[in-house]
Amino acid sequence: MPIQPTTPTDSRVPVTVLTGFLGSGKTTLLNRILSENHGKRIAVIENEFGEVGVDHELVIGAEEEIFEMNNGCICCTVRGDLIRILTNLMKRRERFDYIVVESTGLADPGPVAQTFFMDDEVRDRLKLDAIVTLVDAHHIESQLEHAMEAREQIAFADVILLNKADLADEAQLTRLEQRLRSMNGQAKIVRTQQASLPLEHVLDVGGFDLQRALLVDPQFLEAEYPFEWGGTFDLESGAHVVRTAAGPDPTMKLHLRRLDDALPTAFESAVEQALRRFSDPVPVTECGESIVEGRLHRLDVATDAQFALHIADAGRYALFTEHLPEEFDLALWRGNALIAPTSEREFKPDHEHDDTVTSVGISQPGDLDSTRLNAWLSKLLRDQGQDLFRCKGVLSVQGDPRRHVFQAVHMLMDASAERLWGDTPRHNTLIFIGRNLDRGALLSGFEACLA
Amino acid sequence: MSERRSVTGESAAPGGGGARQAAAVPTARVPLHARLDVGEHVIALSWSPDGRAVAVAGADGGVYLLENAADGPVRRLGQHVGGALTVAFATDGAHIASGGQDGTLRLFTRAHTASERTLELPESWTGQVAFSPDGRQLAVAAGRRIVLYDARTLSVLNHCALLPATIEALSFAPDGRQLAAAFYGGVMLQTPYAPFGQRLLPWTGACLALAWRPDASVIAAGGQDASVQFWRLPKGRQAAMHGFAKKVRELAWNRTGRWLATGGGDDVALWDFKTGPEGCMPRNLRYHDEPVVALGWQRRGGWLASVARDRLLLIWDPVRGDAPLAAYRLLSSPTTLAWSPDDQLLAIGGEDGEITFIQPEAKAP
Repeated sequence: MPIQPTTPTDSRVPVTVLTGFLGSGKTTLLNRILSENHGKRIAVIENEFGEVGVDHELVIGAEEEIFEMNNGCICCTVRGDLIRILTNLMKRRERFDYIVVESTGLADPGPVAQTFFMDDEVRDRLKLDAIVTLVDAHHIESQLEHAMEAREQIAFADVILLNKADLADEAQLTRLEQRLRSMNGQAKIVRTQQASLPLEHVLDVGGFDLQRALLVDPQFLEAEYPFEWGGTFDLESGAHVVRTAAGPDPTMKLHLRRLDDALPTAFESAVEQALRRFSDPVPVTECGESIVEGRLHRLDVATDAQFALHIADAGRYALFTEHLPEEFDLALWRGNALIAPTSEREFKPDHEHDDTVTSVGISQPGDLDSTRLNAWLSKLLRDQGQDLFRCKGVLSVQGDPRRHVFQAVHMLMDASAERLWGDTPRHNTLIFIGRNLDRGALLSGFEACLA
Repeated sequence: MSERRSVTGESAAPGGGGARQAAAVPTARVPLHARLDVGEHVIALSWSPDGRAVAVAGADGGVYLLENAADGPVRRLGQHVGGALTVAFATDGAHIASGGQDGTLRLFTRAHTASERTLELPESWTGQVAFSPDGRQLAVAAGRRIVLYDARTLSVLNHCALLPATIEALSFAPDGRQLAAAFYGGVMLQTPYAPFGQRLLPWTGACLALAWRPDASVIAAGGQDASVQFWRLPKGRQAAMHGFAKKVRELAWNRTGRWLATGGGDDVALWDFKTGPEGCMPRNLRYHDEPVVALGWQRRGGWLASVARDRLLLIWDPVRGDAPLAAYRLLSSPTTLAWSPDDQLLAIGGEDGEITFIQPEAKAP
């Protein structure tokens, strides 16, 4: 289901959708938008009945009414109340430069966003500019634990305002930003006090605008791994033992694989292989059982334990562990000899919290085959659209001098070829935000499209 | 390639283009009878039963009366803050009812505006008003509620049970024995007199528009999900039409009840209720190249009028074929149309506030 392409002569009125829990500061921000001297005529649609004119602004009340379609697909769900209000608003003689739609703390931003793509009357005259989510720096962590709505609001956002930042300390804010970043790698995070910030962070953001470059925090695109540690060992053939002590978690994933040679590239390719292996479903390996080369294990490390390891061929091996070996006093023995790694490396872990909403970023050079790319993306959105909140990407397609850009909300995708690469190195940047994302599968799906 | 609109069970993929505008049709002309300007987007209009006046609801809230229709002048009756949503001439020809975003129902006297009455309905837009065919009742939809009034005294006959979602359309059956309300969840049939029973015709999507077959044997509802549901009464057997390009708000039955005309895209589809429509393909009337905005059949004659965002008024006569009999170019994008009670004049509302009156003439095809 393609979204209507945006054209350079787009005269549709832009809309910002404002989400956030009660107490996050939405009303303060709305009042700021209405009272500030920005030279725009703004209409605000908020969640209480009534219509108030503030000087030359307008505030209209709305009551959430969700229209699901007969096929039950959440991607076709729209907001009936917004269709009524927006279409009537656009018939008035007084023209508004901008519309802000406030969505309640408990509202799902999906149907709000989809209204702008699915309903032809709305789509003809209005364009969704961005979804802005306010969070209360003090309360958001517990809201993320308890409320699915809070996680979805983070997932959909183009901009996250970390409000009441003055009530939290720096360590708390940094930790919070990292967590929000792991859930939504494409949103811009801005710290605010009393929702005070220049309005260009909220209006005319261009979150759905393909013409504007994909702005993703480069730090986010630094790959995250399902393991915290990897090391190489030179092993003789024969019996070995892996010993562990009780640590902070009851189980720990472990994966050992043989390297083709002793070159550093062999370790790099083992990292990629391990990345895919770590998403395999895996039963628990109990104390006394064996570790098998090439397979993923989840070791029972609730108490001190040891696991047999038989090495068939001598050579260099790579070992990857979910947590750092010292947390479990993990050690590899051959008889009475402790074997030290020949090299080791720590990896940036991906799941600091057990948030169901995560982001997966892919940043890779190389040209893509357009047929395979289309097939992959279409299948991905069709099969997983319900769990994918937002996706964006800038892609290098083989044989085309232009950047290919796409974005999607659930299953609704919008794609086009934009400006030339020119002197910029050709590169692919993609980001997926959703539930139950499988980094390994996304990565292999992407790589299978490389020409 | 032919457009494949169909009734449930058939292939439902909407087809494309075809030889649009290829038929030999008189060149679009503008032989306007008259044009009046109310100065705001025309949301709705309603002819007086004597065919001499038109009442108009405007997007900025104005309610207007055009006495002597085409000859003007335009008289402003009142104002709904935030916008007017609906207007209806009473069956007695002496009163006009209107509703709007301010949640009020207003009743104006045609003769002079001093005797206006305003009733506040709580917490909602007053989206629809409808007079019963015998003129004795006035039904009003406000949000999720239907209120039935005595049309003369405006005393409340019944506050009907609240519907689960906002009412999108309201229409009395031609025999006046039932009132239908469309909403997200289906169509509710309300008995407009004691004991005021309700009967739900369920549909899992959002119903946006309603049209009763003249003999009240079928009620059709246009949907947000680009379908038309219809129920055969009294049993309530349901079937659906699919394959529309967009949501369907445009529905109109011809005088005999044989043809249901539908919009929901650039083409007008005619569904034959004499032989079907179950298992049959509709006749597609192709000429507009923008979405159809409004449809209307003559009350006694056989002509169908359609207006679309291509700013054309087309006159069709299904007896004489699938090409339009006449095409008229409009000056602004149309929003609504209504035939005069004597079938002679069409009143067409426009986005720029124009009311255009056209007396269509049939040319030999």
